Amino acid sequence: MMTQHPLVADYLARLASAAEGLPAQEARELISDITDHLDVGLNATSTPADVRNLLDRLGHPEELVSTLGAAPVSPRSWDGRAALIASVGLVGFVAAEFAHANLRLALTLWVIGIVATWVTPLWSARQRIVATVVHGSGLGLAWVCYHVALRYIRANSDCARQTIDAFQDVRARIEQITALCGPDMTGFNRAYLGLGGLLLLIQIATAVWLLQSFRTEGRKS
Amino acid sequence: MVPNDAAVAQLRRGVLEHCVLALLEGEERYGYDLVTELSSAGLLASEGTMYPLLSRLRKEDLVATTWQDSPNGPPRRYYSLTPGGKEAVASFRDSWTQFKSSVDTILEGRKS
Repeated sequence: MMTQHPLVADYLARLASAAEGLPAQEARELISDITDHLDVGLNATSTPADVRNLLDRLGHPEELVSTLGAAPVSPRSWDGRAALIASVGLVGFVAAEFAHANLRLALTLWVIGIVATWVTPLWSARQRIVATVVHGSGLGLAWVCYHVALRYIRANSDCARQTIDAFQDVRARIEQITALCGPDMTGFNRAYLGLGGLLLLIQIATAVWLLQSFRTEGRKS
Repeated sequence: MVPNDAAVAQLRRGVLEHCVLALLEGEERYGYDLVTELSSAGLLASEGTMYPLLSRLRKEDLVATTWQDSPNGPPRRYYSLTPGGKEAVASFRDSWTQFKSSVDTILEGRKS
């Protein structure tokens, strides 16, 4: 079997990925026909030049697939867009978490994250679900963290309670509590940053896992 | 050497499937064999496109396939003409003869 020759294996791999746009049956047949052709055309005495010659004469895998009337899957062109949408989704989720104190802005970013995650052709169904569950819940968890910490500091520091009641705007609240009640803030910061940091780590780990697809897809082209 | 200019490429595309059918007249052949023959006749620009063509011909029920053992190596897929395929070759042969003589007349006429 000469189909194990690296050049041949590479050609067949390109063919297989170009044929992904074809109906399964047609793709299988095309790959099996081409494999048989290579099997018959090459033997143990074939030189690398023979192999190259035979492959050149076969033509580009993408060309063969388009002869069957389907646009070959071309990861390069589609991927750029897919990867961009996927990145917007991830950035949207992470930004939403950072913006959790401003709920309206955070929700807008979160919706962008969800839409991009489900629109990009880059992720598989499993990846979409993981992204939605882990990243989608991130904003909610961050918001809960913030309110747990807020409740804690309210219960434990008179200064903080007065400041919180005095400032409606969330950003002003945090700034003012930090400015006015410095030493009392230790508990708040510990709870808030501790839980928030843990959450962020989980988010980053998931994002890294998702980003593996960029590499896998890139290899196909 | 395969002639490469656009006009020839277009002609080749037009006649290729009928040449395939004609090669199958009277005998079964396997894919590689068909490909090498058409390729050395200068009728195939890229050999691989032959397989999608064969699979289309099979879908259109102009050729049929059977798997047959080969003396060395795995079994091969052999192609043969269906009754529909035979008809298609016969009708193309008529059209081609007419077409060829029309074109010849014009080409010869211009030359003299």
